[in-house]
Amino acid sequence: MSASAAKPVVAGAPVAGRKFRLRWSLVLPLGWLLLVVVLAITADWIGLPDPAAQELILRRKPPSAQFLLGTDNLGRDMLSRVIYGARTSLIVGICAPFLGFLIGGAIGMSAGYFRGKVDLLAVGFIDILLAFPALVLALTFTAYLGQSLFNVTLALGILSIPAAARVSRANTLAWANRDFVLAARTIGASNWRILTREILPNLLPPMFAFWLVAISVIIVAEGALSFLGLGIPAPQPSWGGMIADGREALDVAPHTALIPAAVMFITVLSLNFVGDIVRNMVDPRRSAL
Amino acid sequence: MSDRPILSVRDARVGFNTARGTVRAVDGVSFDLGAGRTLGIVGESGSGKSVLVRSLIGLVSTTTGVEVEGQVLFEGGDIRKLAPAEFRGLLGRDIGIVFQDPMTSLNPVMKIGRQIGEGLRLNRGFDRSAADRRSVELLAEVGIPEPERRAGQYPHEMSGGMRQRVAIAIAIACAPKLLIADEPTTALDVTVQRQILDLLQREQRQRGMSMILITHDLGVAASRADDIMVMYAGRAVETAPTREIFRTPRMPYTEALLRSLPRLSDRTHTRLTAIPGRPPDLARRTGGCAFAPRCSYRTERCDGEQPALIREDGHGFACFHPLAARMTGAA
Repeated sequence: MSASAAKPVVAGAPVAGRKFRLRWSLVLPLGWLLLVVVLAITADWIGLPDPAAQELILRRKPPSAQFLLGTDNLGRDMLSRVIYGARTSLIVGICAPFLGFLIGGAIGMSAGYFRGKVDLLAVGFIDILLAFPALVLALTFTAYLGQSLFNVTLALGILSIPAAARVSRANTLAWANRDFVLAARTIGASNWRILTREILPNLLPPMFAFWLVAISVIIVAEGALSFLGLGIPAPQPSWGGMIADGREALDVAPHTALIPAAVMFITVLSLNFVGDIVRNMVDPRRSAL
Repeated sequence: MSDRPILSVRDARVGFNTARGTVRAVDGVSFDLGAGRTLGIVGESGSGKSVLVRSLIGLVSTTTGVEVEGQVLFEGGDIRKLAPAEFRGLLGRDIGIVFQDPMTSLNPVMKIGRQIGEGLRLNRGFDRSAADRRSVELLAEVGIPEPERRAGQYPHEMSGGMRQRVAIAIAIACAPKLLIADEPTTALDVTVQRQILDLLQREQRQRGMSMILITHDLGVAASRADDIMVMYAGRAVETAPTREIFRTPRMPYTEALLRSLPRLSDRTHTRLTAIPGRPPDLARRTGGCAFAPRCSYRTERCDGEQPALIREDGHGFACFHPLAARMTGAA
């Protein structure tokens, strides 16, 4: 536009942000995630049939007008089960890494900030945790603690501690040597204040990006646990459990396994897309921040 | 200097334990700083000037493998014997620091008004709104236009010079008695350097602060410092009032430094005299004067024995072969 040349430049006016293009690779995954989240939250109020109500005469029906996604081995409505299953997957997927990031983040920050013996202890602890095969550890937890939504979340949360600790330790190491941390000390700030007010806010963007990726990993892990029969207990639907149930009828009613698998696949893919984009935005080497 | 010095340092030593042995970054430095005076600490990179000053206020002791020794008296009290909380209070209230690079000395995710007010709230009992108001006043004082609007901005919205002004505002917020400026202009454009130095000098005079100005630029030190201490390889090699050190340097190193500077009075195309060689590896120091290998006055004694800092009429120098006290024929 020719008019733009005449536009007055106001000194100090907020610089027009870097051009933000609307990309399908961002819009589609975000739209899907939004849909899944909204459905999972509103599942009780949108007139879905009870996900546990069985109709044995109508079992393994393919998708139809009555059952949009068909029915499963016990004649339960697949659409309802997928949506209620999303609720389970999202609760575990969001809470477990959150728990792990709280604990792991605190460990990593202390290790990276205090160095020395604290660092040695923390890194040792994390290495020990990493030495166990993840799935075996999670199976052990749920096998001993009992199967419940809380225990599955706890087990997967503990599994995400090492990764969170490593990310936060590495970032803390990088930030703790900046002059503004020294400067904070020179105005008399305590270690606690420096950690929470100076360093933590700088850790949040990379941690958030990593958390998005962790959600997708945990959703798959929860699916694996349920698939092996040690996840969320039976009547409560979860994607992994549905895939496990559907596997028995894979030859006669493939949709019973493929639909939950597809939903999980698309959700995880979307999370990874969004996570990648967020990570690129907060990556100092790529952004102008 | 008849009045009691505000800061008095005796035999400061800092050693870093590395895989190659202990690096003596600061090796027995002593100095006094009078109230309201400016001490310029001059030296090339690695001469230990920053480490010296940072060690005085406990900023290097947090990492592992560091040994800090010596006595640091602030207004007569030994600050290295204070309890951590008392020490933080002293640091917050009475000592302000401006760092070299304003790109890293400000927290990128905190509004600058908050960063300035932080010290006031921690050390002077200001509440949030009072601290915010004072931040705006301080921004105006350090010459930032539209201080109300700027206080709500983040560091990345400002230029390097403005950030350094903000850093100065943070340093002087709690009305410190001592301001430490650690190469405050090195990271800035030449045109901005002078403004920042003027600002520092103005604040220092108005507030009657003492100042330690660390620089590798003799020209900066010449115009802003009352006294100058020249450091080389972790030791103070010459210390004197500014005028004196430029007129009659006694230590050959200082003389060599002065010769390496261009002067307006030189004829055009005069070649500058560089100092041959490079500073010694501090992990492999043997006895003898650290400057000896590069010195044109060197004798056998210089290789075997470390010269102590001796004083003549308030002019201290560490050399066995000092230059004449008055240069002849310099009229």
